[in-house]
Amino acid sequence: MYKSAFKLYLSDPVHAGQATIGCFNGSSLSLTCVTNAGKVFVHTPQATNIDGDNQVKYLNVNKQISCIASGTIDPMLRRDVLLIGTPNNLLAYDVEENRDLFFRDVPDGVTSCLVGKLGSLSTNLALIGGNCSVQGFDAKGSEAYWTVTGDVVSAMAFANFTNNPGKELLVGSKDNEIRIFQNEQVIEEILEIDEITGLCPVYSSKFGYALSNGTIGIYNSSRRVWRVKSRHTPKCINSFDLNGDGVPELLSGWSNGKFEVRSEKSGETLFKENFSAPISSVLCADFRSNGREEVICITEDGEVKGYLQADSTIGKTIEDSKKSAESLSQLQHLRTELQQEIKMYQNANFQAEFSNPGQAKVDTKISVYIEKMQGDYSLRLVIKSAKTTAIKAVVVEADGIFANEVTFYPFPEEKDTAFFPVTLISRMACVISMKVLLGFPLSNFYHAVNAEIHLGKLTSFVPAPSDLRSNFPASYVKFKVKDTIQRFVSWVDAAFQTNLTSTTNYNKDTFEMGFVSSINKMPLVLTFNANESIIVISTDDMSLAGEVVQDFASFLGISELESVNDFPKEMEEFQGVLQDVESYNAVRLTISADVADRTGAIKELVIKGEEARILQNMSAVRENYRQLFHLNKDMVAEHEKKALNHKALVDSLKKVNNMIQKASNLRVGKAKSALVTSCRAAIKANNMRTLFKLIKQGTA
Amino acid sequence: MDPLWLAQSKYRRRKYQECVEICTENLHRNPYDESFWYLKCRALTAIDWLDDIELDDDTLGDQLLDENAIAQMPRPGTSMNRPATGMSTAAGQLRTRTGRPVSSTGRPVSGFARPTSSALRQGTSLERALGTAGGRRMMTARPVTGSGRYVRLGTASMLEHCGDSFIDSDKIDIRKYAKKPGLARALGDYMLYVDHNPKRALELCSHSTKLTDYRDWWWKERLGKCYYQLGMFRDAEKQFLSSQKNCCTVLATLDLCKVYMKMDQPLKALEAFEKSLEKHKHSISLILGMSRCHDSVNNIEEALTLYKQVVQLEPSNVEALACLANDHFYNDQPEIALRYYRRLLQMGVNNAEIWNNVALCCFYSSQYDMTIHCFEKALALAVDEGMADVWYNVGHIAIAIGDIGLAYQAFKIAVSVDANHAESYNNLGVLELKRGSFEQARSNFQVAERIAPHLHEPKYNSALIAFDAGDYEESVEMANNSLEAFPEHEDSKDLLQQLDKILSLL
Repeated sequence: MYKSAFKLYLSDPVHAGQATIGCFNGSSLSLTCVTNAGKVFVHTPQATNIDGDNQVKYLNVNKQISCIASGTIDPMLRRDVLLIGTPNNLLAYDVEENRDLFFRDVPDGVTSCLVGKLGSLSTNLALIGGNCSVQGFDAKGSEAYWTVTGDVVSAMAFANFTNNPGKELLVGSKDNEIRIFQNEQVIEEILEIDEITGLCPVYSSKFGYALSNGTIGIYNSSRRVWRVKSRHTPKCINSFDLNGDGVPELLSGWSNGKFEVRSEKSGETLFKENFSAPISSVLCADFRSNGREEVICITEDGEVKGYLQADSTIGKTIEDSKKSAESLSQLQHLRTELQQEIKMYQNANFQAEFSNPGQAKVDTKISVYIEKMQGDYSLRLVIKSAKTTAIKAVVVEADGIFANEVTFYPFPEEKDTAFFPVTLISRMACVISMKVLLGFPLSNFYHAVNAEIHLGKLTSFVPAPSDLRSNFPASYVKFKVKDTIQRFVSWVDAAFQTNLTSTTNYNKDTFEMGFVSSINKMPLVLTFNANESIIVISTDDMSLAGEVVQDFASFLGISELESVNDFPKEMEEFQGVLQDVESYNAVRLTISADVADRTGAIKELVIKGEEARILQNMSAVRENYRQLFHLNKDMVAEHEKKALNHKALVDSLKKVNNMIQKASNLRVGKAKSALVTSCRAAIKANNMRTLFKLIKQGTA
Repeated sequence: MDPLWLAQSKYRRRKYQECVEICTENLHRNPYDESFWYLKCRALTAIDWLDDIELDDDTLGDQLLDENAIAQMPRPGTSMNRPATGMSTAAGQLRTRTGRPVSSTGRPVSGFARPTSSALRQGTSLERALGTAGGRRMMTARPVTGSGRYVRLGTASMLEHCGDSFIDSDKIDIRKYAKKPGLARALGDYMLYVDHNPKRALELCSHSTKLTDYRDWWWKERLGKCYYQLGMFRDAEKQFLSSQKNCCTVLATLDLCKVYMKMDQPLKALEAFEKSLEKHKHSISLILGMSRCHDSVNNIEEALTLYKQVVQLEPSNVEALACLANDHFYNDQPEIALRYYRRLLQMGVNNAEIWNNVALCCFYSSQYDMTIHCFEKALALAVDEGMADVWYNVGHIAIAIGDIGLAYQAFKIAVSVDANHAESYNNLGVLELKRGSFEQARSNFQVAERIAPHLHEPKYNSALIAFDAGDYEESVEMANNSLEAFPEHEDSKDLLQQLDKILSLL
């Protein structure tokens, strides 16, 4: 069905995911890939040989390259610019003219980059995802965009998430979360079960995602359409209308060399091909400049294969035949189901003659709920069925709660109530789906009943007994609201799955409720003062406070919220982190000067040694190389120091960004994005007092 | 008399050595006298001062072992390693380097000897480079590394106070000095120019920059210099850019462009020059820097317009005049070139090279009576290096007037003065060939080729000899070599075509 259009072999290996196609000379496209030893090669098949240009050009970066991208940043330039990201800096390079557009230090590192127009901005930016931050640079290399994310950015893409004009930025990070940014503001967060490794827009509000545990799938806005999981890891995803039906498909390249095309509707595999090496990248471009876009698959050992779009008429007939096949398979499935049922009835009748009489069909309803145990602050899931029936076993399936995702609990007691413990490991919204096996006591036939229960982010909190005073958290976040106490209580019920509204015996003026987390046994106290309509959320965990605030605001539809907080413990730690950053930076400066100094000495020794060799002065050769050997050992030691220092620095910077993220989460709407920008300004100006004040009070 | 006043006066009158002596004496009495300390520091720096913006040579170690350039094979005309091979002139003809001698980088000579004009060709092997460093054209050895370079450039004065450790950079308390802005500046320069300890200077500069709230352009410029000397070009670039942002000085621009040239991005350097030129419209250093940039990528037309601009602004600029004269000479306008050279002579430039050039101009503009006199003058002034070139030119004149005997002698003298004068060997070979001594000629060509692989003439000549001798295989090889050195060489192409025909017949 899909014929490969062309095939070629590059002479160099290609690093995973590090390939891009750009129009660097303004007329023809070049495939640019990262290869070994900090080198990038630019393969231009259409290169004219007039200037003695070779098809493949090498660029030396001499540093570990973490990602590359290409795109038009400077509208005056009318050609693409190559962006090369390393763990410390970003280089925008004009390949045609052999000059830098800009070179910027990026202390947060560059883990992914992307070129494009964000939201309401008027020009293209080079967007850089790093350690808990996303930065955008314009053509001059000045920072035009900055925001924070929860963890190291692992994937970025533009998509039309809302129906507003202007695209939103999707950012996938190592904390398993996909955040959707509209300009600086997070408008949606989607929690997945593993690190996000790939994101790509499909069409309208649909986008594809890939996880490091081998899952790929498609979301339509915040709703998941489908997903599939495999043993292998997806290396890259992209979308392209390969079968010509007018709707793009999800393309994926895998670690075992598999290239897959899946329908965006159902996730059904439309095409599959196996390569001999892991796939590095799947790109779409009009690579042979014949007016037709094609899909280009690049493997890590340098094999490049192109696929053309199938003709739209062929696509249609395929679609038709596919539809009829689909309905046929559905009917067949239905038939087998019915046959099974008949068989079962027959069996049941047969047995009924010998064993105790009873109904063959159990039409009982079951109820499922979470019970919160106040004694040891744990959760358990309770399943109840009608009196006459017994629960024999249950098969539970949930992401990230149970070790193998699916667990089987047998209940040999055969009672009408069954329960099992649920141990949550993180505050994460999830769905537990169950297949409950019901039957009459002593009967051999079970009925499987499906049940589902949704757990909210804050389900893991267990109401605490009233004597929480002794363990009252010292930190709090405080904000004013216009809502009544009834609305507040209804939120508490919904968020913590408690039942307060029905028991109307709460205080109408001041409401206080304590919870303890079943995860780490940390207390959380909510207070509502109806006279001043002030809500105080007391907890020692700042990110938890942020989550509570966000949940509260979204439940009550509050779009703007400012707050004041005091987290003495966290702020103290933060102060330490800031001091660390400063000292690590100072150390870095001296170490790198040392290294540069020694590099000079090494060069000298090499040249001297070689000179002595040419002059056949062997004792001098030995002496020089002996010195060189020692110097080399020193350099290795120095490098280790440098690497350690760098790691510590990066960790600290990450903590700083994380702090800003946590602080911004305590606000909603404009106050939230304003806080991020002003915190960034304070850090840039090295004004720590302002930064602390900003985090606490929101304004300087 | 107040010793401080005297020392100051000596310093102002540039009697640095005496100034240092007075200061040393007084510091002996009171080691904590900051004013004497400052003055001594300044005076020592002034003695060792060298204009590192103008005088910057790529060291051997850097050239052989560094990969600062991003592109290995950039488009011709965008890099110094691959200068454009042919530039179209205003009239639309193609100006190739035919007729213009080339330097060892394969670039036409520009008329003014600059440090970079002796740079190595890209891809030169270590052995070759070291062989070259041993002293071929350059009579002194090249410095091996960055730190070596600065020591060497300042050798003359270094020897004098080698034993005198006025300031021990490694032991001094940098934080203390950074707090005293006046002393810190003097100390910074001392560390960079006298002590050649960029590592410590870097510390001082970074402390001082921090203390001035990251606003002082001078410290940033010095910080960039430290990074530059350490070979950390990216950091240097950052500092120079930030210095420019604080205060757009010509100095920072020149430094910045030096960094770009190091990274082999002449076009970026040009951009930086142009940006700065908007502020400093009549800065000769900037215009000259730009024309050097153009020269380095073989964009001769642009360079010439800029040289003319320089001459308009400063009619006594030696570099611009020399380059213009050179261009006129090779464009068959020896009379005009002669006028430029006369101007140079008037300005007091009096060396062998100038007289040599004047002689050549005179000869080609048919003022034969002057020619010999000028050569005599040139020979009288010439030192070892230039002497061979003068004799080589004498040989040329002799050939032109038909005195083969004189020519032969002149070339012989040239190679006796400088045993590595490849051009003379080549011409000697041609003369031997004329005499009919085949073997002699061939060995001469071989010597020339070995010494100067960048010259295409000896290769072509070898190819011709091989062709005449019927050794077609060798001929093809040599002709190809010649084309490698100079891709547009028509004669080599013709020869190859002939060989092709013959070989296909066989």
